[in-house]
Amino acid sequence: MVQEKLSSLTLQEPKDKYNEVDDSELIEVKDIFIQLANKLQTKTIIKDPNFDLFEGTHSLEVNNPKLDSSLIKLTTEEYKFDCNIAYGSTEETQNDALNYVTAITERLLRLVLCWLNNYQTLPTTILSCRYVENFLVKCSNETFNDIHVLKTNNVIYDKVLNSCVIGICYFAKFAQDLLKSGVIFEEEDMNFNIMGLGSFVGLPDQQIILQLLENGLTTLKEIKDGRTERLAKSIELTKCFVHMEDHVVHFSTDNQYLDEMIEIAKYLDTISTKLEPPMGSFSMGIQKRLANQFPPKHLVDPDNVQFSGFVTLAEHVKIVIKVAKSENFIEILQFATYFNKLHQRHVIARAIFPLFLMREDRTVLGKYSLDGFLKSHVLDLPKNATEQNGDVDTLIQPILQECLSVLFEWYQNSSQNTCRYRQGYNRQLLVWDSVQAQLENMHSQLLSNLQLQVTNGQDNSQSLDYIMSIGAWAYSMKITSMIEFSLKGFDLEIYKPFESYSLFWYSHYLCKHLTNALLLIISHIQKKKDSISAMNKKLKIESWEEKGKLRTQYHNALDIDLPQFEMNIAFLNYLSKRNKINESLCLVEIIHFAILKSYGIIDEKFPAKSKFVDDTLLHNLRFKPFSSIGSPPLPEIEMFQKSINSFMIKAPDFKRKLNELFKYVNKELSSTTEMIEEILTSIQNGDLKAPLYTGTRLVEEEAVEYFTYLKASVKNLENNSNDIVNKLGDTPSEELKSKFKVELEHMPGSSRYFPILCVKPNTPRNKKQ
Amino acid sequence: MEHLKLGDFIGCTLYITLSKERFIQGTLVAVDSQANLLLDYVWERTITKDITNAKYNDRLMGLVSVPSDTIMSIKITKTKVNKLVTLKNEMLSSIV
Repeated sequence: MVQEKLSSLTLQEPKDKYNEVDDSELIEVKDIFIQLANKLQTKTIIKDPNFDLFEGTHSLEVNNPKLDSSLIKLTTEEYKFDCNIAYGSTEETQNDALNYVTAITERLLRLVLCWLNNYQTLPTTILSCRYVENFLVKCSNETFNDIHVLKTNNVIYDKVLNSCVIGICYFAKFAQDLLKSGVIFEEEDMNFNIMGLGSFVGLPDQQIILQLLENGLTTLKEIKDGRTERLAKSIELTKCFVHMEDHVVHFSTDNQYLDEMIEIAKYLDTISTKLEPPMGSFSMGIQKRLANQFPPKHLVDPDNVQFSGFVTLAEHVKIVIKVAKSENFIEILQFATYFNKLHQRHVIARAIFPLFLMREDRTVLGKYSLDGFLKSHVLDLPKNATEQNGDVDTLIQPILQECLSVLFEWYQNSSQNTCRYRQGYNRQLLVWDSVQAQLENMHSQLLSNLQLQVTNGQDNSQSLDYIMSIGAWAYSMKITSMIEFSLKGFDLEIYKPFESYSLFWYSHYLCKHLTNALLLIISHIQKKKDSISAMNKKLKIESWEEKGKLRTQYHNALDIDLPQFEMNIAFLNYLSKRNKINESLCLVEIIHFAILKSYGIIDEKFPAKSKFVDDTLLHNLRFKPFSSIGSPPLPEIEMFQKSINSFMIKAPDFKRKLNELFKYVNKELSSTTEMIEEILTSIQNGDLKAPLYTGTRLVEEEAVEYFTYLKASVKNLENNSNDIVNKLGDTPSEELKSKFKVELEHMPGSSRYFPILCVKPNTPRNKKQ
Repeated sequence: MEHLKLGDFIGCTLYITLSKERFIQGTLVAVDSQANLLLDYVWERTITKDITNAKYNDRLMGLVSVPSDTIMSIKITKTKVNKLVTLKNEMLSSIV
């Protein structure tokens, strides 16, 4: 019984409103609390067992001006501000209403940019507008049914400003939908602290809002005042916002409103006259009045924000929807690889990409079935693989589902922000590993037990081959993810110089494995190509009855599979070259590190002395994401240590050995440049007939930039070889250890995956560190 | 109430007056030896008065720490206190 009562006293459910309790129902307990507290020892804290005190550090302290939003001081104008007054429309200030509304809309639009482009919060940007707050408070009420919210009796406010405010709220709702769909993330991509106003229950449909905006424009046309043109531009810009959802709701590829957005934004930036909104129309007041679990924050000043931020938004959305023009899956794959690679695209564009690509109707771009799309990634499968392998397909369906979900995760990851991107690979590589392991198991089971009874004329070898193809693809995807994960850490500057050796060595090791995996796939395709040629020979010796059937098969293979295989081989050649470039650059980084270690100015071991840290612990922590990966296995720390010794230069004859090593580096770098040039030529010449197929037609600019950056990295590494000798001379000495240190330096215009190991003077301040 | 300890009030809704114009209510999750309180699911009511009438503003504040010296009064419903006392007495008698 006591237990039951105790359970009834657990933490109460959150309430949805302030609870009115009659004072006669309450008992004062303040003195009892103080008396009981006095009996406690000074450092004692009594707490709910389910409550984590760490959470308590996020609490808001009442009466602390830095934390308590109730203490925000508002001006008289802010207190008295009334959305139903048409400011500037009194007899003396008749002309100011137009300027006021223009100023409000322009400020509001600039605040949209502060929110989206500068990652500011909603309460300090668009929610600071009293008209937005006024609309959202009303619209959150389920009984809301009149969208003509403003009742000032001035059409500029009631029709024009009202339509702009509702349009922007509609766009905010769209942004909320994007967040809810899980393709972008709260806080890291976009702040959506809507202060309890996020239900948007009364928000009308797109068509109604567009009509409202249209009516606003008509109203402005009827006003005979030259200044209306400026305000009209803001309303037209708002219309563009309202259309933004079309790419996700109707999968529209229409650029028209995006072009309009660019044009209007450029026009608005040409206007230099600054207009002031009515006093109190933008205020911190909402932080004081509405649900708020955050400390007070000052409003963002949007005055210096250029409308050209909308150009970025529109341009980036235009880039994203270009993926609809893809002609084959390779172009989609390459689009995803490069569109967000070097420069992080606008958050709205990044959110639209996965939703536009992988649609709710279970198609990719509305033209590929999920199954077909998945199998097209397995480059050595013929186009008609589904039909040929019906029985095996049934058997491996659960694995294929897993493949599909991790493939989609790969695509979704390509549009993530730069930090999330690396984390995404971390998650994926475990799934790729699991998929590959399952396929390998199935392959060996089939091989040893011959359990599968193929009924539709196939033999087991085809089924085995089919499973092996998917397994080889999963393996190559896994290693690619591992390389990307490792090298991305350099871009994010999470590695210390002493760690760079291990990471470059491991990436080099992975590149070697990827080379082999890609070669294996190429040889599979080659075999299949040969078997198509063999069909022709077989045709000559078959009987008349068999000939007809075989001829059809042969022609199908010749018309469909052969061109596909040729394109896939050309694409694999490109993938191999790209991988070889990474491999070479990693190798050069390793050699540079070994040379610097030979001079004694860096070591791959943890530089500080600590009884809590040792190199094995650090190694295990650094490579923890790969610790459970079966293939390729993670080498032991001893292997890393052993390999650096093989690259190091030891006396005697240091100078000669150093020169030889640099000669080797230069040779490696010049062959890397050649490979980059070859890829660049292939990209720029539209590469279908080239030995390489890059599939970058839709992201030519981005791909060219990517490889140009790699070329710059080659040059930087080349220069670094000279820099090392210039600074350190050609003989190591004890003196160098105290004089110099090594830093990882990212040179502008070069690949951030390959920073150079730069020799820097060791200043006294650095010594102290 | 003499048998009650501070820990017994954990989980109870407290009705706190901070000033004549400001009240908060929330679930007590922690308390220290200076009677500083940590409340969760806090709702705040502020009253603004002009010449003619008073206006209430209620809002959610979430997790809030309330320093002891900012508190004018702490109240709890009689029903809750009675429940706590009865439970405490039952627990004590079952121990005896």
